[in-house]
Amino acid sequence: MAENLIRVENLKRYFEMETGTVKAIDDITFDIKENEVMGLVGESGSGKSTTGKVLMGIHPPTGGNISFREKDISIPSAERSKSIKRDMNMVFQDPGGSLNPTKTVLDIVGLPLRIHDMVEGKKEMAERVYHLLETVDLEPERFMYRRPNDLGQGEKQAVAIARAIATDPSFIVLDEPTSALDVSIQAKIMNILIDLQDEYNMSYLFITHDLGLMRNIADRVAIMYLGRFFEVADSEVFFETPLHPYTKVLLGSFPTTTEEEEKLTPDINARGEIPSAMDLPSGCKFHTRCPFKEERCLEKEPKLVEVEEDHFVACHLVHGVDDVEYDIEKVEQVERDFEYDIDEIKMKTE
Amino acid sequence: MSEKILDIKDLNVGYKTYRGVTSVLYDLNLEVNRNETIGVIGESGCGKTTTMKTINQILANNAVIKGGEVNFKGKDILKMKKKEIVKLRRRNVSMIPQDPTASLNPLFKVKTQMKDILKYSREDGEDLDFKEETIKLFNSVALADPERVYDSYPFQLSGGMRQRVCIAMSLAAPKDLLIADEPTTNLDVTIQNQVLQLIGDILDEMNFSAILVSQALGLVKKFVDRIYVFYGGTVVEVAKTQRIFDNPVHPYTRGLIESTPKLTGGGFSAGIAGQTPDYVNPPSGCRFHPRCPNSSKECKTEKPEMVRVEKDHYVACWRQ
Repeated sequence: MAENLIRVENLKRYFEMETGTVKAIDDITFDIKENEVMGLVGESGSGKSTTGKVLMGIHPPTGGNISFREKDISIPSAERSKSIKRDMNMVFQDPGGSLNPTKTVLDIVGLPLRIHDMVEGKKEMAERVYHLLETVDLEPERFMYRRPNDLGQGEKQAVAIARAIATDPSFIVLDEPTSALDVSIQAKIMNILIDLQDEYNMSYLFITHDLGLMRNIADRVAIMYLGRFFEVADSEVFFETPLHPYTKVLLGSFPTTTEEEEKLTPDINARGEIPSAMDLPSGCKFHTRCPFKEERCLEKEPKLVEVEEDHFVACHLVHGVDDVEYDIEKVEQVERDFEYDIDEIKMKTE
Repeated sequence: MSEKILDIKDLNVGYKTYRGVTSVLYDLNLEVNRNETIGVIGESGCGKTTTMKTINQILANNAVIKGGEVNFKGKDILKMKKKEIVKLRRRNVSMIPQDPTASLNPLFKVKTQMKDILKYSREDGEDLDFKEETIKLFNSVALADPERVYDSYPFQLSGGMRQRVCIAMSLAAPKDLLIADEPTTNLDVTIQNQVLQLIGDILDEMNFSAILVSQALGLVKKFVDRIYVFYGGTVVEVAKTQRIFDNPVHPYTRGLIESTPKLTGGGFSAGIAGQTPDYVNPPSGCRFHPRCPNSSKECKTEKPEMVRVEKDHYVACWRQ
């Protein structure tokens, strides 16, 4: 069993606005193991980017704990020790906005090395940057002295990745690193990320709204909606036997290109939009859009319950209101509604 | 033989820049038949939007049309007088914009903007009951709470609602051709699906032709009859939708399909090396040759012609 690298307990992050409180993250608990890619999916406004930023200390948490290798890091970034900052890094969504346009690639990638005293003198820095650019598939001679404006979108993101791995971190937050890129370039960047993770034994928190990407990189996936987790499971289980209606709705909305994929997308259409985080619905937060809602869903909020090993779901229809036991009849009912093959789930529960 | 609504022949369009005049659209050919929906696929910067803007004559000021024809129902749009073009926009061609936020005027309420459109695009525009018509349109695009939307400013609506308002606007009067230029890129997946479904339903019901532009192959798959694959301002492959997926011939089309991440897993393909061409000095011959995995000598010198692969399936590649 792999060790926990990051442990997040009852994390909350609220934003006070003139018109009220926005509960961007509302009580989530999870862990990220060593050498694991944890995926975080959700629509815009679900709180997934905020989660990444809170882990990095960009926003201090309103409540709850975050620990990194059992050291408490629920403090703002400025108060964190230098060694922790060296061990955690982030790649942002917009590669253009996260690179200083007046600096050369050499300066940008070399900056973290200088700050953390990992190099002595310009020559050593240039050597390290040369090597880093090679690892992200950029020809160092061509790119070292260019500025961000002379780079394509994919190249900029590769530079941002080179900067993130410069200090040899053990954890990187990837906040939709490819959403600004074309598919052909996206594939290249994703390959670089997968190779790096393997080579340097890093853990990722990979944030995206694209389920197809998620399937191909994440070991474990959590689905987020209005600051809450709805379902957490190993990638394979998550995509092949999803239990939460929202997961199914998202999968059903996925634009497929092959017939094999078609089989994985339930025939269920999304309706409505994500409600405002300022005015949250009562009970289960998904009830306004859920095709299977019942009366109890409006009254009581379901807890995140482990229904089978390492598979957590927050839905009354899956695990019942009070009983924590796995309610197979309910699941069967839901599965019948979805016209799903349930033999596999049954096998696991027996 | 079905009637051609739109027939673009050897269209060449560029933009004046400080580095010289670019050559974006390069001998582009495209046809839309009556009652047909086509999909236009390609990466950003491949000339999709420029083509759509040429059809509607809303190109930026620095654009130069260097040659070609854009025949709409047999009449060349490029030779039309200004008055005719205005009429064309009002009565014949409508467009669903990419960014609904930028396309609605933030200073006017939705009702004012809808009224203008109804007044000028309908034949009986002057004596309509605008409110009744608007609510009817809003209902047809499944807008929740149409009364509230009617009396709102655009900023009071969510992205999905704004896009629905834009779709309602484009449907205000019966048209021959509907152009949807990446109508869902700014929306969430769940909303994306709803909006496309809506456009699909409307197309079925109203029986007009449409062009659906997108970067994602999977998105258009459900809704279009034929797919045009654009690269570097020209068409590299055309085929019936299913054939593009079953039998992609052009290396670029293959690269695109392979690069799309699959729900079934299996990792990523190598992608397509390189970047979209620089349009001031575009590559000679086949514009894809610098990125092509199996380019030959011919590819560097001469532009490949469209050749027939099978029924309704054409491809522009020397190695074919």
